[in-house]
Formats: sequence, structure tokens, C-alpha cells
Amino acid sequence: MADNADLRLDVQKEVNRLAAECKASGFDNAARYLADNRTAVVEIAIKARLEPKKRDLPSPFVYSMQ
Amino acid sequence: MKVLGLSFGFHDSAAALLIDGRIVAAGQEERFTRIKHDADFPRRAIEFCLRQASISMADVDRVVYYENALKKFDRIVWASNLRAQQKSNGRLMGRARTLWNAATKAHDVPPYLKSVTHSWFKWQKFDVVGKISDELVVPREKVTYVDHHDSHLAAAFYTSPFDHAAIVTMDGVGEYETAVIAVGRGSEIERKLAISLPHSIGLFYSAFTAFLGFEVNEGEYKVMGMAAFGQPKYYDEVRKLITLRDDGGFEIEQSCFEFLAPQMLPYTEEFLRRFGEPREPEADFAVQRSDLPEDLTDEQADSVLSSSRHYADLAASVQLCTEELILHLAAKASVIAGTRNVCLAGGVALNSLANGRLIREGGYNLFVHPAAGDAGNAIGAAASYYHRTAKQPRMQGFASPYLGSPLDAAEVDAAVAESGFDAVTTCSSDEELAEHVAGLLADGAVIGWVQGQAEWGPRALGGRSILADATNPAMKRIVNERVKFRELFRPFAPAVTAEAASQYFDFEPNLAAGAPEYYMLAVHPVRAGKKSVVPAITHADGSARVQIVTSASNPTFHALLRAFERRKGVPILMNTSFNLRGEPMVDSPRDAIRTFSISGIDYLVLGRTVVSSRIEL
Repeated sequence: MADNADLRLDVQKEVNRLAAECKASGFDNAARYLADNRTAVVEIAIKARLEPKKRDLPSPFVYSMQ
Repeated sequence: MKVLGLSFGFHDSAAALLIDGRIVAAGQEERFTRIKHDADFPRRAIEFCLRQASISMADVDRVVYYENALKKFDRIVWASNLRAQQKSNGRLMGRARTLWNAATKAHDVPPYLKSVTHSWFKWQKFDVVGKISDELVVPREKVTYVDHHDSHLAAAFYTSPFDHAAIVTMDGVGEYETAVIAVGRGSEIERKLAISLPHSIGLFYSAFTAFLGFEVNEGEYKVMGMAAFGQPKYYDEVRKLITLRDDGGFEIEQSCFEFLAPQMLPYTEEFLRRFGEPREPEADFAVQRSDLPEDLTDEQADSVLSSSRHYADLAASVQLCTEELILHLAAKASVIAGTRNVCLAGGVALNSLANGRLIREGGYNLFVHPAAGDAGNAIGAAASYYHRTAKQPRMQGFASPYLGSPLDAAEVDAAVAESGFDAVTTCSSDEELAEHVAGLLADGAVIGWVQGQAEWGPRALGGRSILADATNPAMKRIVNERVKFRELFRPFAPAVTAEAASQYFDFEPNLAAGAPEYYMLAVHPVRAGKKSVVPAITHADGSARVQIVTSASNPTFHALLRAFERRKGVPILMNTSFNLRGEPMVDSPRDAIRTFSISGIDYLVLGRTVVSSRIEL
């Protein structure tokens, strides 16, 4: 539990930092998205961090754009 | 100044090392990990570059990543929002639309964005500087990045032989941009025009690649190959999708494509309405009854022949329209720059049919970066930083495409000894090697040819090649059945001595350094009287993707071509990449032995060591 709490704290900080960096760089779409959806993004990030690092690629077309 | 350029995270990871304006080493990660198009962090490629220069990471002044990650994410959010807005506008009107927008504004993360956000956190794509810093154990301050198309522009111009040139970059998409026109002068690059998503010639071509049953980022060559069997009967229908603007730019009709937030396929219902059913992947393709299995009924055979013709006609139409667009971009860039020197990079620059037309019809002095796709951006990122940020004097042009792993004699001996092959001949000189191997080729042998350093870019250029007799009409089938296992409609390319090239192919070879034919990046017609002389490398439409070889560009390979000419009267060999289907090109002697041992190659040549597949009794 302590580990998960630490992870949550880390991720929250990272999302805040990303949103601030995007805003400072003029990337308003990303900044707004990260700020407006902060709670959801934190949950997505925690889930992503806890998953094993196995490649589960979308179609090559989609992947090449991301 | 030592600059390490990196490309990774999306496809074709690579590393390149620039020291005081000279490219010391460059390698693609797939060659080391043996995973085709490996997108992972290029650890092995970086190790290779450092080893080649006999330095450590502590000696590197700057590490440069090939694109701006946050800007790319900004585009992904922008595109997703725009797509959602288009969808809702299509469904709702007036007050209902306003209410819908308000209701969805802040609470729902659309599935597409959710999946991208997840992937970006999982693979640490947001903090690419941190990832590089962690992986290489270097301070964050040592790591920087440049924009995707700035990397392409730098790869195209700074490695070219030109001091002044028009530069055109074209790909699927970088951050926002999909194509850029710029002017290069000395160590300066000035952007003149940029095309951004959703208008993308790379994605346009990829969408048709997917529709024709091929894998995106891999099967684009197959569309080119298939086009030779068709007629551009659908030209008008395909051409309607492209608007060429007077300023040199272009637009792609969006109703047929899903370029903003694709969930799976890049084309829409409207596309299917116009072009019919997509071709099944791996579906049979044949343009004559004799290419099909004998046990097919006439009805089944007719069906395959008819659908093959249809898809080949579509491929020919798409190819023709793409060439037209590329010629349009190059023409405008040339006018803007005030020079016939044109540099290309970006994945679309690998369209060797278009490159051939740029040379023959456009009359341009063309340079195409040999690794024109994203792998080449490892060099591009380093070069861009070196000139545009560090303001260093102009780097050396591209002296050689052989920038990869060297062939180590001790490794060769060890790999051969371990292999159990005991029919081994060692030649005492390159001349003796050339004579010996030319004799084997003339007798019909298929040769795995590993010499010197590995190639930079997707083409085998006599460093890691499979070679065979181009005059043998059965050789295409033999190489396909024994080792390549490729679709029958795909052509095999020739390597020819530069001095004889114009006798066999309809172009005047430009022997200046950097000409695309040195890197097998341009298709030219085989001369009318010569098609029957070199049938194994003459494609269905009478063309060939030519590699010219000089005694300066690759002395050993040139000597082999000359020795073959003495036997068969033709200084041309079939030259295809040394790999099995679905695998990257071989890199080390052990890779070569492995591929040799499980394929039908007759002889493997590692430096001056010739290994026979025949068991000595």
C-alpha cells in the first residue's frame, strides 16, 4: 500500500510537471487536456506504470502516428 | 565536439555518432537485436557507435533525440479533439451541440486519447529526456531534442554533397508536420513551407498500402512492386483525393481517410464506397495463369487473375498520383531555392520510382539520405544540433553508406569454426576472391556476401548482400524459393559497374558523390535491347532499381562485378538484402552463418573466407 501511495504521489507530481511544461512551451492542447483530466490521467498513468512492460502495439498505422 | 543522435520509441530505432563534423558510426537497433523495425531504446546501437569511436558516454558532449515529444502529444490531443468535434457536429445541431460540447468537455477521456496516454506513460514517452538520462546515466542537461522534420531536413542537407540546395522532407507525420520545403546554404537551413496533419502524403500512401493487404511501414515497397503489373485505370478517382496548391503545398481529401485519431484502419466507409473491398493480406497475386498452382479450377484462376489486375491497377494509380505530388513539391522547392540541387528525406523519399523521375524528367541533381525514414533521423538530430544550435562549421558530406558493424576477422574465424561447415576456402587477395566468387556466380550459385562495414539504410549495397547471376532467367524464382520467400510480384535489384550502367539502363549516371544510384534509391528503365540480357533484374514494366558501383565506392564489390563480366560479358549481379523474410539484414558473421545454414544459399563469403553449403565427403 505504501508503495502504491508513493507511486500515486510520484505520478501526480509528474502530471502536474507535464501540464506546466506543456503550458510553458505553448502546447495548449496538451496542457488543457492534462489539467482538465488530471484525475483520470493520474489513474491511467498508475495503471500503465503497474503493467508489465510487454509490447501490445496497436495496428502499425496507428502506432506510427503515436 | 561529440554528438550522439538517437531515434527510438516509434519505429526503426537507431543511433549515430558525429565527431567534429564527421559521421563516425551509425547503426539501426534491429540489426543488433534481430527484431525487424525494433522501436526500443537503441542500447546496442549506441554501444556499437561508442565502440567504433573508442569512447565512452562520458566523452559525449550532447545526446540529441530526433523529435519533440510534448509537441507530438499536443498534436495527438489536438487531432483527437478535432475528430470528436467533427463527429459531434455531424450528429448534433445548434443548442444540442453546445450542450454536448459542454457535457463532454472536461469529464470523459475519449478512448483514443486514453489508449495513447496509457502507452505514453508505460513507455516513458512524455519524459524522453529523463529516459535517455536514466538509460545512459548522463545528466539531463546533456540531453536535448530537435523537431522531427528538422531532423529530416538536417539528414537530407548536411549529409549531401551540396553547399546550396532545395530540401524536401515528406513522411507520415512528425509532431504536426508531414512535409517541409526548405533552402539549405552552407550550414544554414531556412524553412519556406510546411504541410501539417491531416494532409499527409505518407499517410495517404500508407492507407492504400493497408488497403492493398500489406503491412504499413513495411509493405510500401510492395505497392511499388505491384504497380508495375497494372495500368493507372483509377488515376482520376485517386487524383481527386489530392489538391496541388500553387504555393507548392498540397491537401488530401479527408472524407476517405482517418488520419486524425485512427483506432485501427486509416480509411473510411467512403473510401470503401469508392474503391471497393480491401485486398486480403497474403491473398494470391498473379497476372498470368502459369503463375498459379495447377490444381486451381479455371473459375478460381480467373477470379485470382481478375482481382490481381484490379489491385495492380489501383497500385499503379496511387503510385502515379504520388509521383505527381512529389514532382510538384520538388519543382516548387527548386524554384524557391533557385537551384536544381534537391535533397530529400522522410520515408516517402524511399519511393525510388519517383526518385527516378526526378532525375530523368526533372533534371535535378538529387540527393536522398540513404536511411531516409526515421532511422536516418539519428544522424539528422545530431547534425541539426551540431549546426543549428552549436553553430559549428559545415560537416562533411556523406562519404559512404557503410557506417555499420565492421567485419572482424577473428569473429569470422570463430563463427566458421563453431558452425561445423568444413568446406572452407580462404583467398589470399581481393583479386583472387573476386575471380573465385565470380566463377561460382557464373556457374549459377547463390552467394551470401558479407564484406566490410554494414550498410546504413534499408538497402543492401554489397556489404550484407545476397548475390546471383542477373542473366539467368530462372534466378528470381531460385532466390525466392531458396532464401527470400517473397511475393512473386516483387522485383530483385541489380548492382552494375558505374562505367557500364548507361549501356544497360536508360539514364546518365551521375558519378558525383551522393548520387541516389550509389544507394539503390532510384528506378530507371532497362534499355530495350538489354531486357532479355538481364531478365532476373528486369521488372514487369521493364524497369530496375539500380545500384551503381565504382572502384572508389566499394572496391571489392566492383572487382567482383568486373570479374563476373569477364566470365559472362555482363557487369551486373542481382543484389538483394541478406536476410530471411521477416528478419532484418544480417549484421555479424554469426548472423550470416545462421541465415546461411537454414536457407538454400550455396556459398557464404565472409571477407576472404568462402564457406560452401555442400558437405565434403
